[in-house]
Amino acid sequence: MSDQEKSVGVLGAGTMGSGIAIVSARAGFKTILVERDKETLDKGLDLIDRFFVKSVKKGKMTPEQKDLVMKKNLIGTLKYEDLTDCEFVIEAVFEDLETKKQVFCQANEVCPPETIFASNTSTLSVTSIAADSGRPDRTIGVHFCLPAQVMKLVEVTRGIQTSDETYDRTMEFGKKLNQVFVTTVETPGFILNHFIVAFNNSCIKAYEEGLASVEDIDKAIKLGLGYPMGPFELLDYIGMDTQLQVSLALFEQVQDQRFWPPPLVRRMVDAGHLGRKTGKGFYEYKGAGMFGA
Amino acid sequence: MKIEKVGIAGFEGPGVEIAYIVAGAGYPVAVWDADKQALDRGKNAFNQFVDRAIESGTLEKEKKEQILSQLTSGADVTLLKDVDLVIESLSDDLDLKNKVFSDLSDVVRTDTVLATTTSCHSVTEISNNATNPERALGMHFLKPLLERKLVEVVRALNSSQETIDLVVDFCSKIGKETVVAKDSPGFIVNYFFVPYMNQALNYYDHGLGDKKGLDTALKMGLGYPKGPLSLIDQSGLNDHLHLTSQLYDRLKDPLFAPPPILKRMVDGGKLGKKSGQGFYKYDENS
Repeated sequence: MSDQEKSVGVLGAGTMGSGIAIVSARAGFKTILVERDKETLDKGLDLIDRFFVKSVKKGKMTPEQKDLVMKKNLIGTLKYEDLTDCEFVIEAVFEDLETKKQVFCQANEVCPPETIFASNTSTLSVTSIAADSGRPDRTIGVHFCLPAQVMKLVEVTRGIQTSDETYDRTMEFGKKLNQVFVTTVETPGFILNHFIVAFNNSCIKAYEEGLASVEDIDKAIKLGLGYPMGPFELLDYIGMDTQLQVSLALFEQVQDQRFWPPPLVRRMVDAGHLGRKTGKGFYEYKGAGMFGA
Repeated sequence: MKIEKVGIAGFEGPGVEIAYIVAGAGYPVAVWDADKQALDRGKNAFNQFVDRAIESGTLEKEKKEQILSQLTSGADVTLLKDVDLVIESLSDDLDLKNKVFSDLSDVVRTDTVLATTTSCHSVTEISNNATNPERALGMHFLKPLLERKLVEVVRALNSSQETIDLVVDFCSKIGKETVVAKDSPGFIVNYFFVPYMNQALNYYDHGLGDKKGLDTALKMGLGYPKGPLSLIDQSGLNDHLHLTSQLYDRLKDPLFAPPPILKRMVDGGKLGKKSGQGFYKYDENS
């Protein structure tokens, strides 16, 4: 947990932003977590704190290290002005093109020219986001996997205008973050979502059509293929609202039926059965916290 | 009735692994294979499994003789006349399986359970060659058999509930977990897995990712045991081509259509680890 020289900004304190902030602060970066909504910010900081409490309990860090990370490295704020010293600004706001463009525009006004803007988009075009960021050559895609605080993999994707220098500095940054950065081609969904969105939709569709029960499909996939989670356990973690949104975003770009959300997705979203976060999805849950330690 | 003695039809590939799993759980096993050379190869492979298990510490040395003594094998099908369950694990050829189910019916008792391990054919079609189709079903072991815990118990249209219950209970006794699946193409696991693998092959063929990137991303990002290209190298490109072609014939769903790169590589003799090269190269000792 060495001290890194540069600061990292994270935009958005939702599940993904909080997870990325954990990775950054844990790697020793001064991490500025920016959120426009006070309540969301406090909730995010609380989740992060609870995550590190678990890390201490499991012996993954000492109480002193936790204090250092929480009190010195991590700064929650509502102001973009606090981003002025950041070498990297990673946005993890709502997966919507306009929202992402808008937060980068705001950051562009306060950040120095050398700051790299990294988008955590999973399904949108990096080139589109970069085009309106105010610095297209210094904008790149860095897609962390859910749950970011546990998964080591990050997909790095260059937009058409991303410069070689930006790419090289990003790959360097990956090493300092202790993450595995894999380069992908800019194609909708990159690698992971190209596969997992289609896979999960095929499972939902088959369940809806009566192939087998939720429990049996999960059991078959886990024990038959050695996957760590069954598709429905994973969907409950991801959230059905997110599944709907990424499915639509991918379908719109490629018009491939594999990405079209099966009708059950919308029904569950309409009913508020979003998964863990609402206490009910394909399974029922009591109490919510952050994954891993 | 209880399953106390098990027969296996076919002593190659999965047949050997199944014999090892069943004998290892303490059951007497009678293996029939019409091909005498296959029997010899099977016996050697079986002995190797036992030796390797002792080396790796998963089997106590004292148990070696016991396991070997539980196995009988021969080329005469009447060897199976006393068994309570026959697990058919011949090569995945529908005509062959149909014929063997009919032949086995002439040999075994009327209440003996006949199970096919087919991964891609209709279990109902195969089962109905038995004199007693209500005593027939599918037992689909997932590969690698010694590693994966799952057996899909496939309910053919005429399988009785008693037969299903008997086999589910037997699976738990040999250390396997089960799901009871409909006799629909691909059952559960392959219905999802085959399109995934085909998608990965096409993705690679279309130049959207390099081998390492694709394998690393899916392995690390989704926590899968292996990336798709290294997995298919392990299991064999020709086996996947057979599986996806058969399922496509039955479903006519483009997700199951054999990817052009797969056919190309099989035609070119690049079958994966077993031929020394697939998507990656393997030397003989690895």
